[in-house]
Amino acid sequence: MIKIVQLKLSKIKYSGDSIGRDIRVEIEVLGRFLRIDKRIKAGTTVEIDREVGRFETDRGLFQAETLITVIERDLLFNDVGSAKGSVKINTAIIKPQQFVFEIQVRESRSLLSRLFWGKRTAIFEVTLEAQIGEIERYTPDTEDGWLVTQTSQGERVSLPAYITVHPKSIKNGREYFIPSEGTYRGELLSVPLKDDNSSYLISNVKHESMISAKYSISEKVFTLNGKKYKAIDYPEVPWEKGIYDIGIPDYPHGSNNTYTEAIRQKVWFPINFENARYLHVGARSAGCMTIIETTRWMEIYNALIKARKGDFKNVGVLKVID
Amino acid sequence: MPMSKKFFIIATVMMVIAILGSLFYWFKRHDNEIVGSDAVILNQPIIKWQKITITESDQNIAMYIRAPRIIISNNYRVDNEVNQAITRHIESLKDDFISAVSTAAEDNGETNILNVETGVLLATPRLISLAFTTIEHLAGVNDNEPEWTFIIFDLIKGELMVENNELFRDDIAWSRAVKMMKNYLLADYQGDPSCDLFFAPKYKGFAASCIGIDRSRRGEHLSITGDISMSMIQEFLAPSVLSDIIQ
Repeated sequence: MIKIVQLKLSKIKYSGDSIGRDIRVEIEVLGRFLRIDKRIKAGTTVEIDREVGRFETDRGLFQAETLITVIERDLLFNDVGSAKGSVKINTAIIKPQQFVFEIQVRESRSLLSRLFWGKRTAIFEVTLEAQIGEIERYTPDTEDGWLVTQTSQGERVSLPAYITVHPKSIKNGREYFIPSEGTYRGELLSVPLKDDNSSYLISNVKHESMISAKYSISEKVFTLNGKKYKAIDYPEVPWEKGIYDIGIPDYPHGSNNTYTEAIRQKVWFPINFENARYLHVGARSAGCMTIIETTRWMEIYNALIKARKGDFKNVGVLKVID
Repeated sequence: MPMSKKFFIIATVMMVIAILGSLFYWFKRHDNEIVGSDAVILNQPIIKWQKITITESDQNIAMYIRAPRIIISNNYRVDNEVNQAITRHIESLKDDFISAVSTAAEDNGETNILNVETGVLLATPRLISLAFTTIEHLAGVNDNEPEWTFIIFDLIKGELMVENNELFRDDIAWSRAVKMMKNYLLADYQGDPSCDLFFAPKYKGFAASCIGIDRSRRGEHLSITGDISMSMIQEFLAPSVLSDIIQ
């Protein structure tokens, strides 16, 4: 099974002689590079917690050459020390694994200062921490906004774009994965590999922070990111003032050819799951919040589809006002 | 008779004719709800059937489609619009199927089959109402229940009905009818359904379906179909549509 190794710079311990306080640490692992500048006093330890990189592996032992350089920055003379080594990470261990590198930095000031203070050597203990995790992939944004997949019971279910999934295995040309959010969270699903054996799932998707939208009952206006959109609702079942969650789209709604100008019209965002009310594009409302500016639906779709509230169910919140 | 008097009489007569003409047009427009003097009176549509078979060996796909070709002998434009709407709907069903084959079906040698059967629910000089029954088989995947989708074409306006609210007295009647039909379809359903209503008029009633998922069964596909009787729907319908459905 493919796993992800997250390697972090955990802490820096500064001992030995004091050679100054302006410390730069550079770490290079398998082409990933981290540089941090920090003011550290001799005799102290500072927590850093910065990611060096993420690496995918399907091996039981992940080994990587590591180069760490410590620089005490001075106006004229930088003091530099470095250490080469390797990290050997057991990918079967779930607990964090630590690797300590000792780097000696000898002060290299002018001849005059050497005469007075002698040669000073600082010792830096740089601790790297490896955490094993499941690899993350995302569903692609297809033409109609839905990726049809198969469950382990042989049912077909659809996922909207940018759902986080954990790939589990590839068997007989199919890729098995488990979504970590949305309607099918925790279900084992599969899609075939493409003709060129590449995956339908995509990487490097960055979810954005939750969106905050507003709806005015009296004006029939939906506001998102400062932009206003004309909407309608159903007067016999009016919206009540308050805060509602906007959910991750649940399943394909309607048909593809109702509004030729509205792309992704089959993607509706649930508002208040229990009462089956949605935010969607259309011309009429039987209880939903319907955006009637059909040509502008993609603006709303694009803003909502990658946003996340952090509860695995919702993309943000909607404030309904008078 | 002096020239100026003659001119005055002729001008007065012309003005009276103009006023009477305008009044005649105004009464005609408002009493009979005729928008243009050349109102469209279409012949009864003629329906011819065509069977289309498409096979794609690469993806092991076979599609069997039976669809009508509507002929309205005295209006080529409307005739063309109706048939284009039918084509678009079928294309959309085909696209959905091909996309599902690409990402859900298994490559086990089985043929992926799409069957689209079209039924004419209503064909009057005013309305064409069509039901598309879609049955899909994806290799290695359990078959879903057949889905029923619809298109309704307003031949007088010469356009496809989008939300079908034109069939009802007003938007409130439309909303109430939608809720009533959905509740009726789901009345005996055991589970936790979440589905969208599709419907179309037929002779003495409506045909309806609700397509979505059942949350109590891990979000499995749900498709419920049924007929709505005239007695249930009549109070919501626009008077102008009633005669088409009852006749």
